[in-house]
Amino acid sequence: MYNILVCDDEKDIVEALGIYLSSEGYGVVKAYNGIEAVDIMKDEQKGKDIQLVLMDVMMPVMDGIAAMAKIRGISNIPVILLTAKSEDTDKVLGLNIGADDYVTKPFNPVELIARVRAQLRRYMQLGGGGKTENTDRLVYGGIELDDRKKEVTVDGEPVSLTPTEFQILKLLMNNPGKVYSPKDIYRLVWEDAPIGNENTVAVHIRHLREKVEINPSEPKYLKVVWGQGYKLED
Amino acid sequence: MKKMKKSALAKFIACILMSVAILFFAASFLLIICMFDVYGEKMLEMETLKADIRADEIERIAYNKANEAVYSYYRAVVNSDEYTTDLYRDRYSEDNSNYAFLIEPLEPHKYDLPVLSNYKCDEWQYKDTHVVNFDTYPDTSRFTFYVGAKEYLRTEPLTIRQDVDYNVHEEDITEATTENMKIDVAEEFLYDEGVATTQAATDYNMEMVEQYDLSEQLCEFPIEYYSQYYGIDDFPINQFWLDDDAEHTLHVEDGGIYEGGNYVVSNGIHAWLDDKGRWNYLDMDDNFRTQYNAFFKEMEETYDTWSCEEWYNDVTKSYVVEVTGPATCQLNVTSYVKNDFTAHDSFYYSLILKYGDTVLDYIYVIFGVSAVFTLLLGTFVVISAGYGKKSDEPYASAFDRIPYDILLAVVVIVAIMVIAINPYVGVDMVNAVLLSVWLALAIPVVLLTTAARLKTQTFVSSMACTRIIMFLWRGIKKLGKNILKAVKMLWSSINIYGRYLGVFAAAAFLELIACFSESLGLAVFVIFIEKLIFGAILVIACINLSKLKKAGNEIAAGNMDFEVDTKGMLGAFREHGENLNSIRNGMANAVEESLKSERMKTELITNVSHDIKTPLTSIINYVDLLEKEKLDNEKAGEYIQVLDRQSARLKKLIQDLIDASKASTGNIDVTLEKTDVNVVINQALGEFEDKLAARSIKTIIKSDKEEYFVIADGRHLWRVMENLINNIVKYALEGSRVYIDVKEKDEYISVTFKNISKEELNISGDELMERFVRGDSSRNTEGSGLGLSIARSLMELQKGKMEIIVDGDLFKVVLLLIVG
Repeated sequence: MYNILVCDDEKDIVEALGIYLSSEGYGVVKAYNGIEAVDIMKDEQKGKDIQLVLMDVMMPVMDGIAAMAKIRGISNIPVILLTAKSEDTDKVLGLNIGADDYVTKPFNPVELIARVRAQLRRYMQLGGGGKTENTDRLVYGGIELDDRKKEVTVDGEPVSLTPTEFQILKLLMNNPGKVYSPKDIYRLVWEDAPIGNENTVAVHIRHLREKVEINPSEPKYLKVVWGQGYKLED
Repeated sequence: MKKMKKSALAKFIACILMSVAILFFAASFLLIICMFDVYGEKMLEMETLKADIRADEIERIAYNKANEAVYSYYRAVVNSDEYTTDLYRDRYSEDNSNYAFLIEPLEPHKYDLPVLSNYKCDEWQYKDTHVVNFDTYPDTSRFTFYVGAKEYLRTEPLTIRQDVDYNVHEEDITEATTENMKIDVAEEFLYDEGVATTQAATDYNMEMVEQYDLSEQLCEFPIEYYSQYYGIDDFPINQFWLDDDAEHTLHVEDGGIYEGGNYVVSNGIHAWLDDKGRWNYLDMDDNFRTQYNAFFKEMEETYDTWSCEEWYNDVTKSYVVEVTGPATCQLNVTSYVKNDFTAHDSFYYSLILKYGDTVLDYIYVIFGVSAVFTLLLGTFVVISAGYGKKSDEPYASAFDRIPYDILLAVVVIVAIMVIAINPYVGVDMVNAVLLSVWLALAIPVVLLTTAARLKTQTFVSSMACTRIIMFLWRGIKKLGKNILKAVKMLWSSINIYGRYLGVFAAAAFLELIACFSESLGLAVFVIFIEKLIFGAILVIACINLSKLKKAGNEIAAGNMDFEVDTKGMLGAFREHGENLNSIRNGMANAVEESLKSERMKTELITNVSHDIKTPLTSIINYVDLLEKEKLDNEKAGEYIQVLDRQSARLKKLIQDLIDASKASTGNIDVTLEKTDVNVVINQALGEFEDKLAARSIKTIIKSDKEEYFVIADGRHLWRVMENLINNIVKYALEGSRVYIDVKEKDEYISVTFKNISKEELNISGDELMERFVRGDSSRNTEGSGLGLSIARSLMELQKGKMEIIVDGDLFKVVLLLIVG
């Protein structure tokens, strides 16, 4: 059983999250502002038992960013930020300071639970991931692709892909960060001239995203470069 | 003293005394100036003058002695008292004073005068002795008796010449020695037939005397020699007869006569007596002098043998030239060096100098005493001026009321007239003395009246010119004021066109006058200057105008930082420029205000949205939790579904609201890059493939080219298309086709989305894009109604355009993107 520290100045939200997490079988420690959260983390007894932090950004007394910075001084457990701010700059700031994930309010409880699960799995079971010596295995972030077994896991969870989707993912994982245009992808995966069916690639990518990403509309790995193509990036 | 001040008599006497004192003062002052250096002469020269005077005295004594000697001799020889004497002064000789003393018997024929021949006495070379020279002229039985006096202070010999018309025997002459005279008789007497003496025209620095021995030619003048001498063959020789009894004297117009036997030269006129007793004369032309200089050279060329002998005494230089050849003659040239102090100098005649030795001894005393007296009397005159019997206070008398400048002018004019009395140009002693006298008379009077005027403070006001100037000044001031007033009134009463028209009319009038002046130069000049001025004004106007134009462009382009520099602008332009500036300021303020309010609006919307999001999170969560609760009531389950749907809609609405406000205010990052619009369309359709398929909507893309590159921000372009395709999914007629056309249109790439609406469209394209306005009347289906508004704002941020055309049920959206 994992213990999760939930920190939000809105008691109703803390309660709701408590219910969701409890129902998933997690232990919940509640805090209502940044100082309380930091105090709990500093507490020798309670602090050691906590494996993940859910933290609101906008809070009185001490905000989430400051609190997270302090927590990062004590522990490197996963921290997921909850915030009403949806701007890119806010996300970047949070991630830069040490957040592992970022969920904007109002969030979908199912998505949030999925993210919590993913973070815990990576932190507790996979140990942050690491390259295996198997050359047939491609690893990027939480995605693992085994070319021999034709298997793909995301944060340890197996994902079933069609052969085309598998080929596209393999292509993108071979060169993370590189932008492949739809035509390139078509040419390399289908091994045919891309005439009149460019949006085939787009459709496949969307399907792939729906399978790999927790929130397909805000993809973490499979990014669309509009007007250029697609790339794999964390 | 008071009485004296008031006494007119005292003042009168003081004035008279002062005049005398001034006179003495001036006279002594002039003398002192003379003694020092007044006309550029030296003190030495005055000493020389004194010596001159002394020499004259000695000369006079010598003359008397000689006279006595001659008389006694004459009486002894002739034994008669019947004679006349004539004193001649040699006017040719400026450097010494030669006197010729002529003694002539009244009846020469009564006496048996012997003819002297072969006698000559010429003793010039002796110094410090009195010399008697004599010449004899056999044909006239005349005897010229020279008595020379030499004084050691003089640098040149003083000669007294006495012409005694008498026959003298050789032994007689030797007997004529007195204690003061020494008479030598020459060994030979060279003069036989005739002697010609030429005295050259006076050279300023040198005087030449030439003597020709013309014994061979008798009295025939050597014409060939003269022609050679003067370089002319043809010259007039006039002859005239003389009566036997007539005096053999030639009177020439300019009065100068030098008689030397039968050859006479007077001021360049040569005359000689020929053997027939006729006088011949010829005119000497002007180039005599220059040709004379070539004389010796010519002689050398012409004659076989030629010798020249020079001999000197202190001040004379003589040449004796002996010539043998075709024309045998002897030439004696005697030169006298001129003293640089001339005997004709006015100082020489000055009484003061001549008899002023004693005066000169006390000159400083006289100067000092007269100066003191002048000062004392002047002081008294100044003090007493203006006082009279009438009043204790100083007052101006009738004389003091005469205009001061006129009084001074009279004094000055009279002074000038006094100077002008002397006909010679320049100031000499006569002028100085006369001027002194006048000033001595005038100064006390002027002093008196000046002091009186100063005391009564009427000095300036009493001047005629002051009165005239004041009168004129008042007139000019009044006139100027009136003219200025009139011009100002005229100027302010006409508008700007009138002013420019007026200036042009004036210029044209000026041109007209210049053209009528009949002087092409003047006309051209006036027109040129005028064009120059108008050109300058035109250039300034053009510069101003271009400045204003630039400012207008800047303001029109929305540059609110631009300010018109009105410095140095012409009137109307400046006004216009300032107006532009205030318009700009107003606009800048308005823009700033509106920007500020927009920003505030955005901030408000964002902040409010954020605050709404937190409670919304709770609502969504608890609705979700409720859903999961096992509820027996079926209706409750339905209600929860409604809550779920509406809270999701609220969530979307809030996000759209934030996006719309940010997009419309431009408060969003835009990174414009080269983007393939076809790829974006395909990507977007790929994202919506499922939803479109669910509604059986088919998309047909028509693109003229495979690639259409535009300058856009991919993320924003996606958002635009997302919104448009979303709308299509929501509002397009199920089972219909959507056409997407891509083509070039002017400088844009246009992307057109065409679909058939499932609802009736009773609203215009523009209205559709307004916030919260929706294509269908039922507002409660889905979406926020902000999609098109956000899309348009995003298109504008990418410097593109979005147009919506509603044609019946055809809904058409045109995106215009910049070509990449």
